[in-house]
Amino acid sequence: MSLPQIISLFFLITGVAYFIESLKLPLGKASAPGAGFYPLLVGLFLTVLALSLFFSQRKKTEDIEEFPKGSERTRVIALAITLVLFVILLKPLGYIISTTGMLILILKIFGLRKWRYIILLSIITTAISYYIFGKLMAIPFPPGLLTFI
Amino acid sequence: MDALHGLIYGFNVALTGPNLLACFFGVLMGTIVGVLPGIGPIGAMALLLPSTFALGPTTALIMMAGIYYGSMYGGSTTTILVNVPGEAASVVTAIDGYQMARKGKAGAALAVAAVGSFVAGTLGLIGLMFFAPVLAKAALEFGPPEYFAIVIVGLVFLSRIGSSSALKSFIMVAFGLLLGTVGMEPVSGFPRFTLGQLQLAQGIELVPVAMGLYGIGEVLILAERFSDTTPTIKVKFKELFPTIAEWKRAFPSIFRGTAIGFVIGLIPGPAAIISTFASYSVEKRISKHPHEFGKGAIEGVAGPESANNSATAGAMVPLLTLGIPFAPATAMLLAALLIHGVQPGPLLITQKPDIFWGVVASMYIGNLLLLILNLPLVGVFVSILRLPQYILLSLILLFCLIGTYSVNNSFLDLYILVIMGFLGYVLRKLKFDMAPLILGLVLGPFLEVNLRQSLFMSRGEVMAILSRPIAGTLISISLAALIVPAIISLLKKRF
Repeated sequence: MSLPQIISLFFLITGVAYFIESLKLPLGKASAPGAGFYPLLVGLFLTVLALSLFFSQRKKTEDIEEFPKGSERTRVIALAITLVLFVILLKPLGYIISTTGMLILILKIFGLRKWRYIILLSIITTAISYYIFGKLMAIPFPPGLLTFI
Repeated sequence: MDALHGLIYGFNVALTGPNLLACFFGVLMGTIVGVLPGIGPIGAMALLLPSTFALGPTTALIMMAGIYYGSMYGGSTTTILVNVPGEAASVVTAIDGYQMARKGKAGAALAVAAVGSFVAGTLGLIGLMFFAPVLAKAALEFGPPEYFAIVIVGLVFLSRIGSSSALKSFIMVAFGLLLGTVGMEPVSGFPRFTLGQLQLAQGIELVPVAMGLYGIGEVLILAERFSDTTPTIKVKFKELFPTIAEWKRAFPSIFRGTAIGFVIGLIPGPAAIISTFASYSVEKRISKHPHEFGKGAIEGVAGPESANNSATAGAMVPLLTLGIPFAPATAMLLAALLIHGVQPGPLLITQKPDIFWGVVASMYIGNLLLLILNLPLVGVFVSILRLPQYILLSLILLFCLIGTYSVNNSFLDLYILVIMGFLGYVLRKLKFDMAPLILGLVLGPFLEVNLRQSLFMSRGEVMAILSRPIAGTLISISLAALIVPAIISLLKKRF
């Protein structure tokens, strides 16, 4: 199966699941459509389109960009995992710890070598961002472990 | 209020302290994100949207609009000097702009781009000033069927003329519409597709989706072909003055680009980007020196760079008169207004003249500020590019995360952001266009309300809707736009 086919399968499953969910909503009648009327159309629309993309990609693959290989692929995946970790750990660990940790990982992924520089840069960036966004703009970041702040 | 009085009134609004500051900040941000690869106007507007909560609607719109047209100026700088388009509307400029830079004419290219942008931006505004009230007056007659039809035409055109295949674009529209239905249903407040999550009842926010697709998705792409620093061409101040001969060649292109850009801006679709391609092909076709195109023709810079600026003015017309954005950037502007409880429509110009004329006047001021920022100070912005990429990309990621969190202080939004980021990366690789998804998400609820009201009005008779002249014509146009290309390709296969 080609990559465009996999993504059309993703849209197909989404469309079908959404369509089935829409059936559970009140449909109403033609002169007074209910909450389920428009979603049914949208679900049908997406399902039909995803099916046609799936079959149109069977014979020829349209021009797509190659996905990276080797170290480039590792870099993208590592970056993606870092972001997921940040989102999961933001609440339990708090803004300061998770941001510092995330920046250290990102800089490492981008190939910086000197640990001292990486850690210093991460701490300074976190501190400045915390001051601007957490203090000046008063965004209520989760304190996490550092409850004394 | 006629245009002159309106404009004077608008300058009174725009020249107050907070609005002037908002204008300056907006165009400055626009220039910066235009220069920087990896974050464009849409990411920047999504990022700054939460910060406009505390501002009034006029001030918020002035700032957001500043980012939009400001990025059109900044975009050309990176394109000419580095051959990396800062944003999509500058891709065409790369063809001749970078060649000019390699021949030591970087200064002339930058100057022509900036002056062209200024002329086009200002003339485009005159078009906006006179055209918007006319359209608004006509739109007073529009009912739900007309609005429904306009949105359909917009989405069809966007998908047909976008950069990816029509089928892929329609899938993005459908997916955007689907995301737009999550949460409380717009007519009776019935919760839909909330997956048992209380927070999803509020619906899926535009900010995490836009920032994921345009911010994180783009950073992941850049992370692949990552290099330490960006090599740039240095420009000396005295090189910034093109010769008289160059001006003579550039000016007609600037005016042609302005006209092409404004008209295309009115049409649904990614106006700024398309206008650059249209202008470039016109310039090439009518040029006396077509062989120079691709090797550093000044017309190839002047035309497109003017076109994308007047297109931004044109694209403001449907937003401010119908309340319908046709491009992702104007969708962000709509979001900024809706947050403040302002629903733009045909009555905006008469009932909220401070918003309409204030923004128009601020755009004159903004264009002037941009000319100053982008000519004498161009070196300052280029030096941002010397910032190591690892710092730039980590900051963009951090800002995306903080910006999303700041909207609702919601962890769910962060998950949506990251998921949309991954999706944006994969879809970009598979050559899907992001714009239809954003517009589907923004226009979806509006489309549903108008569809349901139309059916209610006509007592369920579809034909009664189609027999209304404007709605019927628009629906026929969309159907034709769908069917005609399919028939043509079928005929080509047969014969």
